[in-house]
Formats: sequence, C-alpha cells, structure tokens
Amino acid sequence: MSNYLLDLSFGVKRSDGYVSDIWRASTTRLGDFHLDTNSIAGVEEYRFNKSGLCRSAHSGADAAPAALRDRAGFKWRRAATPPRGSGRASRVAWIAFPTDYLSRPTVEDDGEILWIDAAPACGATYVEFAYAAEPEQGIRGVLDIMQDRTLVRCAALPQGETLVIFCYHADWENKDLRVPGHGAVADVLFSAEDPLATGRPLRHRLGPAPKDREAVLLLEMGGVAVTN
Amino acid sequence: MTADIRRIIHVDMDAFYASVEQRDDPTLRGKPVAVGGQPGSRGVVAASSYEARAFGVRSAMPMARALRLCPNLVIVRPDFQRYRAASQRILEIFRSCTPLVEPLSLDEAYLDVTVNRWGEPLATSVAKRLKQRILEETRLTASAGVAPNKFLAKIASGWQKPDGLTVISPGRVEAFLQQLPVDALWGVGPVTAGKLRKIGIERLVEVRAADPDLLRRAVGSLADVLQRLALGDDPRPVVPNRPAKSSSSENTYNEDLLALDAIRAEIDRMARGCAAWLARKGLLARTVTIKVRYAGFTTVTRSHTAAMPTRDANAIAARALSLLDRTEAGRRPVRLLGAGVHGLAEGDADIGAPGVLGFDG
Repeated sequence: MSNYLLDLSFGVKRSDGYVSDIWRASTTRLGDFHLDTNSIAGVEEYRFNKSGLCRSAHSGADAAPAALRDRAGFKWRRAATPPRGSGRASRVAWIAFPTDYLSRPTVEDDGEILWIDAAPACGATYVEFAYAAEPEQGIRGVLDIMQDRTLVRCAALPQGETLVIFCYHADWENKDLRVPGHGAVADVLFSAEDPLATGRPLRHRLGPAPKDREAVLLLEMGGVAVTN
Repeated sequence: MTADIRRIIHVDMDAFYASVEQRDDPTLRGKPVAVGGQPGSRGVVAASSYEARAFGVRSAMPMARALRLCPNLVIVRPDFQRYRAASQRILEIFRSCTPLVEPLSLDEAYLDVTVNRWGEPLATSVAKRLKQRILEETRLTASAGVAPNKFLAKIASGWQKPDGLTVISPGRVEAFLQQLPVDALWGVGPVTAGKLRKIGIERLVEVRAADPDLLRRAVGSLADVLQRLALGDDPRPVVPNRPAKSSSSENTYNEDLLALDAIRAEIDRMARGCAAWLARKGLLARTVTIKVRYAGFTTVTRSHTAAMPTRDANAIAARALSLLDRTEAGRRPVRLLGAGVHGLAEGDADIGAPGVLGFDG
C-alpha cells in the first residue's frame, strides 16, 4: 500500500513543447502535504505538516552537508484553514511559471506527468495549493463559478482538511533578469528572448522567505549561463 | 480562495497636451515646452514636456516659477479643440477593444479587458496592441498599467514613463505594495499623508497593522478604504460613461483682488455659471463650494450642503456669497477664486413634483 494518498507529478507545457521543471505534489497518510522538485542543488522540498508547521529544505547528494543536523532553509506556520461552510480556502503555496521563460525539455516524458497548458505569450501559469475545510463537491462548486480557475486535483486529508490544487493564467511582464556570478561563476541570464537560442537549460526558482501565515510564493524561470 | 481575476488596464497619455503641441509643431520637438497661461498674466502650467520636466517644471506650477526653473521654456497657449480631437481618436481605439472604457480625463482611462473584442486572453497583449495603435494613429505615446484592479493599474501606469508598460501579475501584487509610500494611494494628498505620518505610517502596507480607531481619528471615513487598498483590494468596477460628479471653475487674476464688491461679483458670476451648467446637464446639486487663494498662496475652501438639491441660480449664488463671508476676502488680497457644485442628482426625479400628494383608493 502506498504511503501517499495523493501522488501527482505535474508540469507546465507550451504548445511548442517547452516545459517547466517537473513537480511532485503528495499527501501522506499522516495528513502532511509535500511539494518537491529537482534542482541543481538536489531535491527542493516544501513540507506542510498536519500540525501547521512548515519548512523548506534541499536534500540529495549535492544538497546540505551531512553534518548539518537541521536541513531546513526556512520554517514557518501556515495560516489556519477557514471553517467549513465559509466557502473559503487558505492558500499555502503558489508557483508562477512565466510562459516565455519555459525551457526546451531535457528528460523523456514517461507518460505519468500531468501537463498543464501554459498561458499564452506574455502570460504566466499560476498553480496554487490551498487548504479548505469543505468537501471536494463544495470546492468544485466554488471553482465552477470562478471560470478563470481550473481545478487540478483535490485530496481529502485524514484530519478533515482538503488540499486543493488549481491553476489559472495571468498577465506577466517579460523583463530580462541577470543574476551576477561576481566572477566566481558565470552570470545567469533569464530572458524571454533567449537570444542565444539555448532553450534555457537552467531552471531556477525565486521567491521571498515565507513568514508565519504567509503562502510560499515561487517564480520559476529558465535561464542560461553567460560569461559576458 | 480569491475572487475572479479581472484584467484591468489604465492608460495614461505621456505629457498629453505638450506632446500634441510637439507633434503638430516640429520646431517644438526636443525643446522644453509648457502649455498654459503667460507668466505676466499669472498663468499656471497645464502640462509640460519631458524636456521641461527635467528642469523641475510640473503641472499646476505658476508659469513664472516654471520660467525661473527653465529660462528657455517655450510657453504655448492651450488648444483644447486639438486635445479633444486626439482624445476622441484614442477613445475610439479603446472602444474597438472593449465597451468597458472609463475615461478619467482627456488623457487617461481605465479599461476592463477581461473579455474583449480582440479575443486576447491576456491584458498584457491588449496593452501592447493599444499602445501600438495609439502611436500609429495619433503619433503619441502612452504608458499603460496592467493589474487585477483599478487601484493597482493606475499606480502601475505611472511606474515607467514615458512609453512604459508595467504589469502587476497576481504574484507580484504584494512586492509592489511593499514599495509604495502612503501618498501613492488614491485619495491621499499631502494633508492626509501628513496626518498618517503623524501616527507613524510612512508606507502603504503599514496601514494594515494600524489601530482602526487611531486610523479613523486621523483620516475619518477614508480609513476603511485605505485598509482595503493597503491589501491591494479594490473591487471598484470599470464604469463606462460615468456621469459627472461635480462642476467647478476657478480663475487666477492678473492683479490681486482687494475690493470685496469685485470679489463678490466674481463669486456670483462663477456660481451662476455652475447653475447654468446644471441646467444644461439636467442636473441638480446639493453642495456648493468656493475656493479662495490669498496673495500669500494660502488657500481656503468652504462648502455648504443642503438637504434638497437645486439648480436655481439665485439660490446657488446666494449660498456661494454666504460662504465667502466665512473667508478673509476683502481684508486680504485675493489671487485666485473658484466656485463649484457637487453632490449631483438626476433631473427632477429626486425632488418630485411640488404640490402633488398620493392617495390610496
């Protein structure tokens, strides 16, 4: 028997085949929610525990040194879930995938990935994760009247909460972003134009450190190392 | 879960009047230009080109001061007929995209493009097309702000000027709000900003944590609006053909007015002008306001609101003159006078037909 009630691999895909990183959203039988993706520093993890405690960390061979007892990068508390009947949910994480910064795929699609259609050019696809106390039927009812949002998946958790994953398309301002390497390593250029036609092989996530009761906000973009 | 996502654009023409002048007169291009009255007649700057703004020349500034800041300033008398023609063309472009266009003045408007005639799913693409068409058809540039609501869209359009496009995606709203000083808020002028600073509020986001009672004591009924806007929440719809909310006129005089009779005559004339405007529009007004600026640039306003709206010229003029008695006009030299009507009501519907009572049976 699987340890996971929900085990979903998903990504965002453009009609020309350009994609985001692959993400995994899973819920445990204990009622925790995990959100993971691979990064150049190992696995990037976000944990939302049943108790309300949350943490982010990197794990894997290239991640934190083994001697480090607590690998958590950030710890915070998620907002309380609104009561049943309120018709509301509490967002705990959202990821923006700007369409013009998606990357040429580098891994084979094993057919197990749920691909979410990317927003048109100059847009971004948002995938949001929220807790509600409503049953799935109630959540579907709310989302049905919000025509701009698409329900990706609902997962009932043993503590009576429901994890809701939904997505929508929004506007995005395409601006070049250059992260300086200060001579030690190459700069990384994130550009909607991709002037070197590299396919943006380096995918990174940027976002502020979450504070208590705040949702994790991540912006995922593809870039390329540049030396000048 | 948040409400439905709206796609709102605020378009603000860049230095509109000055740009029209520079477009139509090639000799003005690249020069510091101010549209407005002559300095000798105490004129003020109605609009200034970006070349003039580099010298600190700003709208509503006395032209004499503008000239001191920029001695090479080229002063052009306003030609509202040409500005209105350009504005009309721009509005046609907007309305070819959506019927939900709310003009704020000749040079700015809100558009709700959540659903639009161009079939564009995103507002960013619409804004790019609007800017391109405005440039092609009027040879003028515009700056646009794209956001989920009017408040954010308006601030965004001013973020990158001229010829800018700023998009506030849902995930960027919080970061954007964190940067804003409190006087970036709609409805917060220097006086209100000063009151907020007195209670320790410098940035917009600090309004969120303010004690509601303290905030209400400082800014009155604006407190609730501020707290919503500080969360980036502005549900106001884009309203096409929004009716006028007020009418006013004011005049800066070449020579300070000293004689009370002359001042009263001016206020009487302006108040009767407002009444004539009400009659033309088929409207009534509850509030009469006057404005007096003394020679030392101190400005006072006085207003009176009546229970029954009116457009009667004698009544409006009498109320304006009564308000004048509550100023120092006649005892201090007066540089500027103004009169206006607010609190408008539609036609006769609000006051009913006099002398008619309803009976059952």
